[in-house]
This record gives sequence, C-alpha cells and structure tokens, in this order.
Amino acid sequence: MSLLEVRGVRKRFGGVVALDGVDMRIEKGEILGLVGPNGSGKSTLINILSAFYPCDEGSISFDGEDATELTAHRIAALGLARTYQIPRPFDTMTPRENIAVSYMFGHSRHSLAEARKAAQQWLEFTGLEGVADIGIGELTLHQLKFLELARSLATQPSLLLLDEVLAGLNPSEINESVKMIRRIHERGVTILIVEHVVRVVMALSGRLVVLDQGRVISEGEPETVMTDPAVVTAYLGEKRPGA
Amino acid sequence: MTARTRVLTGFVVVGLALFFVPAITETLDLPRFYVIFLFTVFFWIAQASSWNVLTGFSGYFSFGQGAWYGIGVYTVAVLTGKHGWSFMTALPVAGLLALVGGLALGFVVFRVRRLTGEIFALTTLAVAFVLASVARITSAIDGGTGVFMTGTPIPEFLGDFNTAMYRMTLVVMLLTVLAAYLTHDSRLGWGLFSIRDDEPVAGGLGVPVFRYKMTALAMNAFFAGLMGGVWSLQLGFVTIDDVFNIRVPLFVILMSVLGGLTHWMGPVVGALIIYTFSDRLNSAGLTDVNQIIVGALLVILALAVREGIYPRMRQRWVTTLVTLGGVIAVLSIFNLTESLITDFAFAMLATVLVLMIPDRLWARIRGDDGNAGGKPIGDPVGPLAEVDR
Amino acid sequence: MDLVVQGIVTGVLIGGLYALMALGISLSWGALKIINLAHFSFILLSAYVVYQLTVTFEVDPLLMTIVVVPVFFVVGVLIQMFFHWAKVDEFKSLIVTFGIFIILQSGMQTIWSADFRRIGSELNTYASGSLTVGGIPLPIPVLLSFMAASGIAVVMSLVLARTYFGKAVRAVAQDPEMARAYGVDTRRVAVLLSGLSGAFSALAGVFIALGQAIYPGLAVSWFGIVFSVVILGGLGNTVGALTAGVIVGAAAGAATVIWGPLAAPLVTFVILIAALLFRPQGLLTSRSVA
Repeated sequence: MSLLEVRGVRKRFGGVVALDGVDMRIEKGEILGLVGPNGSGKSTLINILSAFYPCDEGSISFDGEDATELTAHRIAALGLARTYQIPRPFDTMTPRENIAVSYMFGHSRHSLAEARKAAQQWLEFTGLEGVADIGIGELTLHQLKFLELARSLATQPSLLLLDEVLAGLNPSEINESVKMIRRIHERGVTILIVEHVVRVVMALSGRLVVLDQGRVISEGEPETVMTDPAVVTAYLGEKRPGA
Repeated sequence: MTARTRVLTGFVVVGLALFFVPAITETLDLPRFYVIFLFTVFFWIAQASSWNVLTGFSGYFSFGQGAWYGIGVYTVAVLTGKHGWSFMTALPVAGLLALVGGLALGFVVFRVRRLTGEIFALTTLAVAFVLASVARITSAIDGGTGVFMTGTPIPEFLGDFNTAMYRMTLVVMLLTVLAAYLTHDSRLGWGLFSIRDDEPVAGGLGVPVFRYKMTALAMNAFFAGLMGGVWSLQLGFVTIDDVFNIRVPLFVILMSVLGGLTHWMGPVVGALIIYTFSDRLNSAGLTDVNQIIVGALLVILALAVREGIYPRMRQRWVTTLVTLGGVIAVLSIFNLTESLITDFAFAMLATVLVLMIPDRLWARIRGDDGNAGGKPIGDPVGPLAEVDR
Repeated sequence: MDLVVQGIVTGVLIGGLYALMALGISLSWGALKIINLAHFSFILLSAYVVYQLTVTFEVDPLLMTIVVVPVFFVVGVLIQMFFHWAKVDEFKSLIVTFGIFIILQSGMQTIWSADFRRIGSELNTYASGSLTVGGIPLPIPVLLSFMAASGIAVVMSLVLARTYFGKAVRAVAQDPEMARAYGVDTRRVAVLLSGLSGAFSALAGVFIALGQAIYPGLAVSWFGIVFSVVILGGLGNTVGALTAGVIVGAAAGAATVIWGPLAAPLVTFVILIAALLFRPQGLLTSRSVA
C-alpha cells in the first residue's frame, strides 16, 4: 500500500483547468520528485494534497485512509506537512516560538512546556539555534527556508511536501539545503519535492513524475524520464519541422 | 516560582486589595465617587479584555461588542424588570444568552468560504444593529419604551448599592481578565496567535482553526454579556439608544489598541487610561470635545503605536513607575488639583507621552545604546520568552 | 395594497439615493482597498453645509451643489494623500476612518446641536413639489436624486470600461504592483478616485438636505443601508450599486408600509448579513472592478 495515492484529481479555477485527471502514488520512504514546466499544476497539486483547497473530482488516500474531504488540520494530524515556496513564518513570533507552536499542534498534542523544550532539537537540527530568539524580520531567506523545514519537521510528519524550497537561494545555500533534505530523509520522512532546479531533483529523487497542463505525462527513474521525448517537448515546445 | 504562579498570586493579591477599597474609602472618609469611578473602570476592563480575546488574539476584528453587551443588559432587564426574576438568577442567563448569540454568529460566519477580515467586521457591526432593531420592535423586549430596572432588588449580602456594584463588577472583571490571561498563556492562545499571523498555515500545521475561533468568540460574548447584565443595575432605566449606541464598541477598540492588542494586560491598562481621561474631561464639562478627542486618539494610536502601551511599559518599567509616582507625588503634595483621580490622569498622560518616545530617541536620551538589536518585533512576553529571564 | 405599491415605487426611487451614497465607498473599497467609514459623515457634513449656506445666504439649495462637490472632491484627495503618507492598509483603514468619523460626528453635533435641521419650504421649493405618475405621487427631491444616480452610474460604468483612467483604475484594483510596472501612476489614480468618492458623497448630501430633516444620528442610521448596497452591488461595480440600491430601497419601502418605519433598518441589515455571508462578491460580478 502506498503512503499517498492520488486518483483522477481534477481542479478548475473559473475557466482554467489546473489539474485534468492526475494519478500518482508516493511510496513510503522514497523521495519523489515532481517536475513540469510553469503552469503545469504542481503548486495546485500540493495545495490540494495539503487541503489548502479541495479538488473538484478524484480521490486522495493517505496511509490507507480516505483523505479527500479532510480539512487542513486533520491532514496534518495524519502526518502530512508542507513548506511554502515563499516562506510564511508567523511573524509576531520568534523562530523558537514558530517551531514550538508547530510541535504543540502537529501530529500529536503536546503541552506548552513540552513544546518549549522540544523546539530546541529542531533548532539544532536546522542550525538555527543562534537566531532562535530574535525577530523574524532579521532572518535571511536561507534561514527562513530552514525555519519552514524545522517547523514542518516539528509536526513529526510521515510525508513532507517541499514546494520549491530552493527558489531564490545561491549555489552554496542550495548545497546546504540538499544536505538538509537528505538528513531529513534519513530520519525516515517520505518526501515529495517540487523543484525547478533540475540537477537537484535528479540527484535527490529516486523517482520522478512529470506534469504538463494538469496531466501526468511521464513517470519513472530520473534519467529515463528526462530523456522521454514527451517530456522534452513539454519543456522546450514542438520540434520545428525540418529543424 | 514559575511565571504562572507569580501571575496567579498577583491576581489574588490585587483582588484582595481591591476588595477592601470600599471599606477603606469609608473609614478614611474619602469621596464616595472613588468607588463609583473604580467600578466603572472595572466595567470597561472587562469589556475591553473580552473583546481583545477575539480581536487582539485571533485577528478577527469585531465591531459587535455592543451586541453581546446589549444582550446581557436586556436579558437581566427583561427577566427582572418584566418577569420578576431575581437578579442572581437572571445574571448567569445573561452571560449564557450572549454566549449562545456568539456561537450562533460564529457558526454561520466562520463557515463562509473565503471569509475576509472586513466581511467579518461588517457582519459583527450589522448583527449589533439587527439586535437593536429587533429589541426596539419587539414589545416583549423593549418595544421602544425602555425597561425599568429601578425596582429590582439586589441581594442584601452585597451591601449598599455602590458597594454591591463594586463587588459584582470586581468579581466579573477578575474572572474576565483571568480568562484572558489563561488563554494567552495556553495552547489556545498560541493557536489564536498563529491564526492571527497566518490562518491557512496555522491550519496546515494542525491548529483546529474553526474550533479555536469559536472559542475566542464565545469567550468574548460571554464575558461581555455577563458584565452587561451586572451593568443593567447601574443604568436603572434601560433604553435602546442608551445601550446599543456607538460608545461600547468604540471604546473597547480604543482601549485595546492603546493598551496593546497582543497581550492580556493591554486592554486593562488601556481601559484604565482611557476611562480616566474620559471621566476627567466629562467632569471638566467638555463632553462633546470628549468624543472628538476619542476619535483623534483612535486615529493617532492606530497609526503610531503599533504594539500598544503595555509592552513599552514592561520594557521601560522603571521609567513608568518613576513618572507615575513622581507626577502624583508632586500634584498631591502641592495640592494642585482637587481630586486624586485628576492627579492620576495627569500622571498617566505624562507616562503615556514618555512611553511613546521612539526607541532610538529614548536610547539617546538615556545615553546608552538602548535595546540590543534583535528584540522580537512582536510582544516577547509569552511563556517561551520567560525561558531566558 | 396600493400603499404597498406606492411604498415600493418610492423605495425604488430612494434606492437611487442609496446608490449615490454607496458609490463612494464602493469605489474606494473596490479599487483602493480602503473602507472609508468617514464617508458617512462626509455625506452628512455636505448636507449640513448645504443647509447652512442655503439658510444663511437665502439661495437655492440645489445650486449649492457647485460649492460642496468641488470642496469634497478636494477633501477626498487630501484624505487619500493622508492614507498614503501614513501607509494605511485595508485593516487599519477601518480603525482610522472610524476615528475620523467620530471626530466629524462630534464636530457636527457641537456646531449644529442634536436638533433636527430642515431647509424651510420658502427656500426649498423642491421639497413641496411632486410628480404624479400612475396615481402615485413622486417627490421631486427623490426623483432628482434617482436621475442623478442613474446618470452617474452609467457614466462611471462607461468611464471605467472605455477611458484610460477607467482602465487604470481597474488595473490598480486588480494588482497595484503590476499596474505600476506598466507605467500607471497609481498614486494619481488613487487620489483622483478618492476625490471622486468625495464628490459623490457631497452630491448625495445635497439631495439629503433637499429631501429631509437632518440630525447627527442620521450618519449612523445609513450604515446598514449603504453597506448592504455596497456588498450586494459588488465592490467597485457602479451599475451594480444602482441595481442593489433599487432592490434595497424597494425592500425597505415595502417593509415600512407593511410593518412600520422601524422594520426598515431590520430589513436592510438582514439583507446586508445575507449578502456578506452568501454573495460577498455581489450580484453582478462580471462587471466588478475588483
């Protein structure tokens, strides 16, 4: 049984069809890469999986349970966490408080006192102990992204959805982030990574799923998928006749 | 001693001290007015605190404080004035009815898809007006003629009228502020703060947003209604225009914004300051100017003092005490004013002005380099910050 | 039954006035994301000014339009400049404008007291006149305001759809950043729009002064009506505002006849709540600004 199964998911916004019948599965313990050109529906899919909004048609099952109609906080309770492309920390709280709140409400209930202590481990895991108690406005983008990770980890998820976590980072920060993602994976968290930086996705993912115009057009091992003509066309456009 | 034990002890100490004020006023033959002044302050503290649990903590701006207050006042007025219920039995019903009203509103409005803060604010405004209209039309409630409370007897053990009002408002005020404190220092509180900061993210992290918002709204309504029920006695003759006007919804906003929306002590401080000013302006005969000043204050405060006076008070507590004490001492020793309350008003005005001096300027005046960089933007007085103290 | 019809017809016409009152708020909320509660006191202040000028100088009240409209246009401009300087966002705008509302209300009460003020019939020839259509007497002030409102709604709708200014307004309403990137002077658009809102309120004030007695409490009594019209009509949708005004006016008119004058506010607030909860985007969404 897969950890996450998505069947026939459709979503439209007004006249625009964002997802047009997506079938996908994520196996426990893997790192699945989700790629596709701009507008292919990757973010929409993440939003639906994390119950930001519901899908119009289709079903989602998480860990064997039907998760199609669940609200965001129930999905979180089941063990699903996500990060945001543009970091969204709670800006009237310090990093420590951000993580503590997450721990208090995440996968299982915890008290304030426990949360206060527990936040320390995630601060250390992501290297943020030095900035734990200052204002959010003073953190760099890289630190904010790591805070997103720390916050998601504090909910003790079994599945972590990473939405373009590398966007806006410089090469050395990207390397740091990749190491961090591997360490998270080693702790037993299944990961779905949506990313534009192709070399990273290829290196990290055990398996790749390609979306284009709301549909899955290819899936399988990274090498195979990226050389699939359908995928090349999707990214680069039709080959001109005679070219 | 943990922070919580300290605060709870503080409640007990303050509660006891306040309890004996009427007796002390009598023994020292001080003006009776002090007791009336204080219990009116208690009224406003309760209204502002209850309002803040919803608006300040969760970020859902309510213009509807008048609705819950009104339900509270009218429940007691109608039950005792028209149906002969005893005051003590009617009072809890007032709180409960207001609570039910709040839950009913929450149940409908919090389920609206893509609910924005403005829609919520307008809905609360509209609800208050609707209730006023319904009460005005329904003769069983008011019917436009008002309700007489003057015949309602107060239980004897509470003492004479003013002492009774004092004791009841004191108890309700302490309960309300205690509830606000316990919320602030709890999972519920942190959940509400996260909702305020970013509701979808909070939901995604497992915060039960609907349930928490309902709880905050319910608490707001209950305590507002309960205090309203007590206050009906003070009003004596209850009319729609007197109960459902702009005063309560306006003042609670002003008091909480001044004192600070993010901390449970904010509305307490704000209520004390605003009511003292308002009372002194009234006694100086400046009633219309009163309102203009209130409006102007609201504008200035909303723009200038972001986190409110209370956090600044905590940061600069020495200055606060010195200014307050100093001004009161000077004014009373030299007998410059006719009332201790006026002394207090001036002292608070001076303190507020001093506290409003921006941090950088303040540091320069003091001759040090002020706060070390890295003070949290928001209010760092939650329990997690206490770890470092 | 005849009375009900009369109530509805008069209500429909009064709806024009409601729409005029709502236009200012609708535009500034829809395009500038500012909810200007002070707007209500602008309308009332304009009415008081018309009253005072008419009574003091013994002139035709309708003529006072020439005075108040430009003045309040400027007021609108100044307010918007103030908001820009103070970096007021949607949320703060509620508090800040509430404060301005309170200031203006108490100011008006201090100057004119709580007494009812009405322009006498010698100076206000319009109030006594009425046009009888189909056996129903239609008071002139109400007819005039309806015509003004319809005219303005149609003109504004065309302006928003066809002119550069209109397109700029719509762009700013949807995405100020992008509009700026495309060379739209968002500040100028905002300031002009705010001025227009002020002008519309002033005009509404003229018709109020013509049509009824005024007193400070009037401003608060308009909250329910105006907000129902604004929400029902759709933010920034001028024709929508007119339609909504007519609906609310008719409903309030019918309610008054059937249940008495006290029922009217109840009806309008219930409509407001229903609109807020079930159709906050308004009835005619396709032509909305925002």
